Amino acid sequence: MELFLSQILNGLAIGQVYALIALGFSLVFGVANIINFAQGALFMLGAFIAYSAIAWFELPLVAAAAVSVVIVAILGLLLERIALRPLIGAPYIAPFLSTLAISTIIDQSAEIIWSPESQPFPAALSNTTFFIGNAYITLTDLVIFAFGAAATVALTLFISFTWTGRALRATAQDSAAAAQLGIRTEAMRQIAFGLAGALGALSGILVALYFQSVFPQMGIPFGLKGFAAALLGGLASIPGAVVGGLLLGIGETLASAYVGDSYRDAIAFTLLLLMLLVKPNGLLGSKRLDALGGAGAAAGAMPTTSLLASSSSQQTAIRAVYLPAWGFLVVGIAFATVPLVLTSTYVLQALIYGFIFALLAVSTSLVSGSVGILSIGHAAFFGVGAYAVGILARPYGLSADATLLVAIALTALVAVVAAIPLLRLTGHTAALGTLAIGQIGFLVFLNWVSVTRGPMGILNIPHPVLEILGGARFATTAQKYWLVLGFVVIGLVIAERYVSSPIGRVWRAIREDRLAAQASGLPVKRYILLAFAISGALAGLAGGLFAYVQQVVSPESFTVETSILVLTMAVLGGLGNFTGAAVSGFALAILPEFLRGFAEWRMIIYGLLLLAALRVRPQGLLGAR
Amino acid sequence: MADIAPRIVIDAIDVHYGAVQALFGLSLTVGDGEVVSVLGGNASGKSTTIKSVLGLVRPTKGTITLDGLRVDGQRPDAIIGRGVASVPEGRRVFPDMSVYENLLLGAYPRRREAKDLAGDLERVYEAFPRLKERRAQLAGTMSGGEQQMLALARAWLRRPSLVCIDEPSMGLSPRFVDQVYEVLHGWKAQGITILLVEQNARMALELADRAYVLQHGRVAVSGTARELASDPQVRKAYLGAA
Ligand SMILES: Nc1ncnc2c1ncn2[C@@H]1O[C@H](COP(=O)(O)OP(=O)(O)O)[C@@H](O)[C@H]1O
Ligand SMILES: [Mg+2]
Repeated sequence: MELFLSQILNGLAIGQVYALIALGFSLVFGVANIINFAQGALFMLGAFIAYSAIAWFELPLVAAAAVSVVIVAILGLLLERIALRPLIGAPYIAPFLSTLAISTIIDQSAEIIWSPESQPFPAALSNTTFFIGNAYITLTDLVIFAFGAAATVALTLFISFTWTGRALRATAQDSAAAAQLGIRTEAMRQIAFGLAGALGALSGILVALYFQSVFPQMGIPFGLKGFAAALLGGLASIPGAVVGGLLLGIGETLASAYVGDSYRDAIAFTLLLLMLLVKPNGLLGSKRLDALGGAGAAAGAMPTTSLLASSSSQQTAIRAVYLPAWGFLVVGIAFATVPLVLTSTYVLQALIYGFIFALLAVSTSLVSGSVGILSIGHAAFFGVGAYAVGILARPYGLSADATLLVAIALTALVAVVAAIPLLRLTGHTAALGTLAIGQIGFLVFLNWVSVTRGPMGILNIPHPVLEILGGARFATTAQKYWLVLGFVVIGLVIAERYVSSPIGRVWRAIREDRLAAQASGLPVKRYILLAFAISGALAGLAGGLFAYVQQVVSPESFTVETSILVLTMAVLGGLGNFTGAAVSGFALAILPEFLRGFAEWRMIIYGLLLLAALRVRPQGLLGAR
Repeated sequence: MADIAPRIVIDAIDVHYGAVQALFGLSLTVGDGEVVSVLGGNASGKSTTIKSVLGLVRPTKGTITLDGLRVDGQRPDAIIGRGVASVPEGRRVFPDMSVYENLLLGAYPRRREAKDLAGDLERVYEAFPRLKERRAQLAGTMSGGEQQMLALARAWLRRPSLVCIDEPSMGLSPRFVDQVYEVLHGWKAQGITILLVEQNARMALELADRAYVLQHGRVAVSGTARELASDPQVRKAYLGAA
């Protein structure tokens, strides 16, 4: 019982921090109607700038915190200016992808500046412990709670009783009406982003104090938790964000105490998915999502469910250019001749990865583009396929026919189950749901040591043997090249046949207007699940092939970076355009081979590419379909 | 008319929404202290006209001047800043804010005149006792008629010299329509210039000095309110049963 109470007190402290992150999401969502994926990056920067101010410039903690809050608030303003302002009138999904690109760039830059490793935070609060009855709480927890609560109260007062606060709320409730009262709504947007930056920085510093460490990858998991808290509270509500944050903090602390600390995050993200499944409007039920077409239809700024529609009808449509299904076969045959003239293992190896990522990008394009549920979690599906092969290939001595079949079937199943919480969501919210799925996948690969061997990974995966080809063994690079190419071409042909069939038309109808599709009697859910099954099967196949090629499977291949990378490929190619996805997947996968020595710049380059594409050609290279 | 210095001059504007053109070379003037009404059926371009004046949409051709200065292409806050207030179509009160806060927001451009504000708020409460009673209530919980009163009071707190009003009688019971026009007649008596968009031609023509009738984004007829109201041709063709 004492432990229980202590955990609750402890949970309140971290929960207060989540509430601050959540407030950052809520403010921006309220005023600008977008979900700011870069909130986590601002949070991480807050922690690191404070870290540097203390470690490099020897500032005291409070001064360091103040410097960090100011700098990150300014970065918040810049984010609005650089990544979002130019996209007004662009497709509804562009701002979200833009913040995603910025977040990738910031995260990777942080790894370059501060090294990818986790570092101890150079300031600590005293560890004095207080007892309330038999329950205890440390001074650190108390200070964190007090600061978090004070920031929340200050924000609430500001929002409630100042002219700027009132104008912010008015803009959030009805931006056009606010403009007619003489409120500069663009300025309000900026202020919301600045505040979100300040809140992000403050929460980053508090988290650094709480866990006593900082690491460049901390942005995404904590950002996702803040989003979960915001969603729990209804996304646009300030009291909701606070309640959501506290609940999440307590729930997660209890779970880590009674289930195990390594499951802390997995449980938080599972809670998020359950929440999306049961009560997507949040506990305090915001009607705002309904006004946008209902949380079930269009969460985010979208009056339609379409990712590609925009508020400006002046967008010139780009005609999509794509191959018919047999075209993939022709291209495949052409590629099959390459090993006959080129023997460099190095080049062949690069091409093999190009094929695998072409397939994975098409798999991502299927759910993200054709069905319109933006996936930032595809690495999980890719990983399931890879682990299925890794686990089955050696100890059971199964042939590649069998392992790949299991990989495909298992991943399809996992994808279908994962899609269930997403069924009622669209837009930005669905995207964050897929991010949670991706994170859960990664955490399972990392922590389910008895099956996946955890961080060590599975080594020495044997060369594939195909029974249907009379037990042919694919041992050399050229042989693997043909094996991978063969399977990838089959996968692409099947995918293209689906998307060009009446089923594909239904998918696109669901994407364009889910309510209308529902109203006309289409079994929308079944079609979405089918899309996930096929996309999962393709990703599973890609993962299985990847395992055979690498001969090693380990969690770091399936991080959120991989998910963002394949999503970038799908967007660059033109969402829903499989030819485009395959081309850009292939190109972006072999690109780093030519950028050796710039390995750490890879994600930055991808992020910049995505950012540029959104500005110049949001419909993708070959046109969205 | 010519002896009255024009406050608003709209000169041959075209307005597009994407590929759709809503106004075609529309011209209109509003003199100082005048009440000018823009009439017309659904989708004839009335709201677009008022939105152009307020800077909410930008003409693709033509010019708009306010007190002799170009305003087309300016931001709404800049235009409101020049003594203009707006009563938007459909009232657009902030539903999750109290009546009191809605009123305050009307005075947003005067937020530094704290002293005058308190007095003006008292005057509003005197003129609209309903709003005083309900000042702590959320605006979204009030009836349509009460919300329209709130929208009018909110605009008045701007202490404007010029008000743009879009269909203030839309969806209201006759009792509330009368109340709305009582307020507007009061404003006219105070010398406030009014640009009034209406479908309810009878009420509008009683208030207005002059009127323009729009059809398909063009001015079909214009003249003094008296001429228009008494011309049977006009009444039949453009003003429906009014
Ligand atoms: N936001 C908008 N987007 C596209 N078309 C619009 C928009 N607003 C108005 N329109 C079109 O412009 C024309 C004029 O509309 P409006 O000015 O609102 O007419 P009224 O106020 O007279 O009913 C109509 O054809 C309408 O469909
Ligand atoms: Mg109208």
